[in-house]
Amino acid sequence: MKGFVNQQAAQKIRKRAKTWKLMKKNWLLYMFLLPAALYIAIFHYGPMYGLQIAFRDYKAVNGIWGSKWVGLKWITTFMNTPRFWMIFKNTLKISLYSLISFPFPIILAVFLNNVRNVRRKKFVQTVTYMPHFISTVVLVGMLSLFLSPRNGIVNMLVGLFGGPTDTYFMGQADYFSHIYVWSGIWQSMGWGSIIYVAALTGVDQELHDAAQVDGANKLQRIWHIDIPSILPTIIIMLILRLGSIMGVGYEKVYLMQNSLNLTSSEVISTYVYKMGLQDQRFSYSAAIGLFNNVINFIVLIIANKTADKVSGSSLW
Amino acid sequence: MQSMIRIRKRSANGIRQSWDNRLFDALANTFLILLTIVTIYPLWFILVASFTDYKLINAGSLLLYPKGFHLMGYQRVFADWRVWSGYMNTLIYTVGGTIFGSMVTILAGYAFSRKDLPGSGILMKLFIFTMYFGGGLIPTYIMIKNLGLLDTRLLMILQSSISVHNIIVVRSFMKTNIPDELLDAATIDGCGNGTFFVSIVMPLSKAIFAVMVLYIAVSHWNSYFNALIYLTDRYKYPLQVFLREILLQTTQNHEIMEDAEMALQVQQMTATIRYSVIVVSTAPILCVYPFIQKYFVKGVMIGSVKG
Amino acid sequence: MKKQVLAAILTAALAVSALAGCGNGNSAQQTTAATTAAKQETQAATAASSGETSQEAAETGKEITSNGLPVDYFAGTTLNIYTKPSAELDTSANPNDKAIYQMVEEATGIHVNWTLLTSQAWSEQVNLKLSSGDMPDAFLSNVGESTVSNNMDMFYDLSKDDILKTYAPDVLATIEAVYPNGIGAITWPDGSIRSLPTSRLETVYKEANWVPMINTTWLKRVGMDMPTTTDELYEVLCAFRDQDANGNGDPNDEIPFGFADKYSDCHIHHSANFFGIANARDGDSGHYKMVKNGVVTPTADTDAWRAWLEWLHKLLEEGLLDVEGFSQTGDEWTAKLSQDLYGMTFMFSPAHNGLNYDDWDVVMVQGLEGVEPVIDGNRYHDTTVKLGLTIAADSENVPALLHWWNYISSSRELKMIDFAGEQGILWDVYDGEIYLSDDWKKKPEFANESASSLTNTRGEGGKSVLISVEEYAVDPQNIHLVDGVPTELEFDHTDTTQGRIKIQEKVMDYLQYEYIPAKFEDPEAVSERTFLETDLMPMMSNFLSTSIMDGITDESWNAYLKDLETYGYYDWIEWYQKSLDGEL
Repeated sequence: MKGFVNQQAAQKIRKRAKTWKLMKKNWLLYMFLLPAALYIAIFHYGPMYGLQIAFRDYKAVNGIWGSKWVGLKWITTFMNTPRFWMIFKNTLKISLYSLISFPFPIILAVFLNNVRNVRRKKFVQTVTYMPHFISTVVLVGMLSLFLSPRNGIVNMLVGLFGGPTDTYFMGQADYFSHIYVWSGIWQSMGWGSIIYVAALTGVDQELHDAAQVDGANKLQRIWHIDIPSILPTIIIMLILRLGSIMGVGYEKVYLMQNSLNLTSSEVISTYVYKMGLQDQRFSYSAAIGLFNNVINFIVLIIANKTADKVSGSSLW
Repeated sequence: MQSMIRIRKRSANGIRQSWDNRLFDALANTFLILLTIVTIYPLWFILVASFTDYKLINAGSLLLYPKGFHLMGYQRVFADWRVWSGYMNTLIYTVGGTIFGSMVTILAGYAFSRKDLPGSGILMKLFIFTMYFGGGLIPTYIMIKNLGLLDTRLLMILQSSISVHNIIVVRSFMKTNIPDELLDAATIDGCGNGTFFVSIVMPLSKAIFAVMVLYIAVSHWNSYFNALIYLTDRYKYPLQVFLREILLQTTQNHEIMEDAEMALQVQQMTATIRYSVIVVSTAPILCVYPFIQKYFVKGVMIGSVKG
Repeated sequence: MKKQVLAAILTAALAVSALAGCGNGNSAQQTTAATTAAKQETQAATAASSGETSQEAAETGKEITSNGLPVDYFAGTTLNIYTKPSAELDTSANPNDKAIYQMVEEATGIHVNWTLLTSQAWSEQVNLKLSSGDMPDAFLSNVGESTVSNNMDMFYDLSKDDILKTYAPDVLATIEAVYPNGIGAITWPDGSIRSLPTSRLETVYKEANWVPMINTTWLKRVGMDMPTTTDELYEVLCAFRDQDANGNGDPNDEIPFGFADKYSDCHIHHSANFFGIANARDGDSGHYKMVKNGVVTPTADTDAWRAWLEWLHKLLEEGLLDVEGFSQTGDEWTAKLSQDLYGMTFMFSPAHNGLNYDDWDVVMVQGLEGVEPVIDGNRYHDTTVKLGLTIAADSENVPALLHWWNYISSSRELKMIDFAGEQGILWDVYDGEIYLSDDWKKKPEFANESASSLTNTRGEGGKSVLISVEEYAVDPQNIHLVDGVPTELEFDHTDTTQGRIKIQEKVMDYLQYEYIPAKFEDPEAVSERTFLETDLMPMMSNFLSTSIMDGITDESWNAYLKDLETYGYYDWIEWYQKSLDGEL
């Protein structure tokens, strides 16, 4: 028994020594981390004490530490508003639906990777990346024009194929999530593909050549060479994406909102925005923000665990 | 070897492709062409609309070329001193922030990608935590005030140059693209961390470096919120703040307009310049992309290094 | 007095030495410290000798202002004031370039250090300043009622020690003249005064912002008379739909009735006016209640409300209503209007949309037997900004600030310069009276470059000192109102202001007499109400729009009535009743 403990202790000491040796050897890598760590410490951990605003009734006069402690009052208030479940469901629905946008940049990157003509490739790449720079106001303005039931281009196209030409897309609650998600895909597909295009540059060309000799066709090569090589990147991006599941931004939703589609377009962020607009409810919006992020964080942890088990890639 | 060369030649010429490859090409090309059309029309629309009287734009009907050609939007935008001073500042913040941000991100991303770094796991978790939880605006403001960084250009360069998201992306790239064997081989050759990073990691990471430059540059170019909150000197404002100021959305800021008459005037002006503002503000940053694309060329030869 | 002179010399000397020593990194800091010290001394000196100063000043021939102090009594003081540029119009970087502030500084010797916060983040920035204790002497521009009510003690209480009477008698006099309840208009329920009002009280001619208007040229084309009931209006709109009312050869492009819910106040709500329901002016939610004989009455649960929505549904079914109205922006609405696609819509004035007044006329029709139509708006149009100037509680310069503000308020000319820019541009003096200048009519088109230089000289709404209707007689809208001012203006069909006068004359009789006056309420109570509203208002507006789209069944109506109760509609009504009765 004694021997075993000794052995364990010895192992521990050895391990510690090894760690110490590694740390000494890799001191330069710590220096690499230092600027980022300092930044995070100062700009993120420095103000972290502000989290408690969510549990207080913040008033500038009293300061953060001096404001009244109200515990979970704001969260309960939020959950008791008559429209809570509607808002929660809408947020979740739009978020989950938005997930279908995830594969599009990958498909685009893979296809682009197969274009041999360099000029054509660059052209398509540049064009698809440009929508990222269109401001939300203008995007929503264009949506409204293109989807107009009077003479919008979309209705005209539908008409060409024999469909009804006066669908009021912007005014129907059922269409809201489709318009939101697909315009999002349109806007971010090219931008999102950049990271995969970069990752694809790391694919070993020899593997492709060898596969070609073996008679593999393009699709097979994509499936067996390209995708596996960029899989770690895909998985990391997916984890990060899942970790922002509740993050439906307010601006676009708010601009697309109208009194007709309100039942499906009111989400947590627009609700918070309106709350804040009417009154300076710092604590209330902080509490709802926290509520959102706790859900996000939990999803992230679950996604990360799963990814770690299934594929071996993970965030930590 | 002979046969391999032959095959490669053929496929490059596009002759004698097998039917499944041709089908794939057809599908891929159709997808890309459709995508290009769907994307290019709205972009063309914006360009055309920036030269068109807003009353004609919004009547609906397909807009293929400028109607009632005019430059009023551009005249208004460029007549404004704020636009010029804003351009200047944006340039400073973007260049400064990109250099600083991409350096720090690459260094940290590489360090995190190493498996033989004790403590990096905990540090990563601490980093990720901040993606979700923060103190909010008020404590951050007080912190920045205490650091004496309020209303400084330095803050605009530093803030939001570093994002945990980017560090994670770099880390995952390095993990897959810098094989462990390389490090082992280099270590045996007596190559230290510094030399290894400079002579092996850097050349192999050009693509991700380019991506980071692009990400950070664009986010700096588009950012306005920090400037709104932390700057008070109007001569330090970046372009986006002014553009938003000019474009102030009447729909969102009902109560700001004390006067119905004024609201009407503002609405009309906004409509006139809405599209030209987009062109003016994005044209420069669009030019960055072609330079970046250079580094996306295939075959950054891991194989050659290995060999 | 001696001490003051000494301090001035000291300051000057220090300034010179600072200049001489420039290049030395430390000198700037030292100087500011020294200057502050000197300034404090100056203030101490002035405080000590305040009793005799006016007399002394009189002896030295200095101008004495209405507060009994020499005009330059606070000379040398520097005020720190935060303000927001009027985002879209004001491109100037420094308010000190404005004529009024230069004149005031010259006269009083008080220098203002302006900090311009962005208008987009104004409320956030104000709150951050409050939170970080980084307070200026004052905020000039509305800081928001909730900001004040949540942080009451951060703002100086002007009800104390007769401070207004002592230092700002002219300001006080204008407040008493402008508001029916005088100083009560800016007094909080606890008796304190935390702000001074800015801007002007408009005349009733600016009221009824958006009125229903019909295209009279279309009316003529389809050969019909001005409708007087909603049924007749329905017939007219049908004719607009079926015929080529705009005369462009295409009988199908007419949209009989247009609106834009997301644009300014071009809201479908206004058509409730035909059914005797009107908003007494406080945003969209105003339609949900009316004051009748001193009682706040619910409107959204009445038969009239239902009849109105059913009428609109009928219009929509028949293709008479612009269905895009619920989602379209101002751009799209304006575009349709200017392309002559609308036969009827709500407008501020035709001229404001580049249309001719000859083509458009006010249309008021009756929807229910025995129920007179009314129009949105009340007979007292308050466009002053009651929280226009707020002073920090810990400011050391309150007397100087009030003196400075009082100086601008001390004469009609100065007020005019503050409000409308220098004499000779927008206004001028003819025969000793202030009138609008001849250039007014040549008011440049907005998009024109010269417009921005014009707005630069104008103290835009919310930042000028309070000015009364009678004093601001240059506005042609006011000319009607003020005795002794000629109204010989030639009517111009495209002039924006004159068009408004015509409209207002027609709707005057429909304006309401009863309304709930805006006043400061107990913060807790206001918070309760706004909490209710975040859920109540979207529910109600959603019901309204879906009813217009899909019609009302007894079932949906009853479900809605139940919702009204659960969402607290009647609590909301009661809240306003209490506010009206002053019981909150």
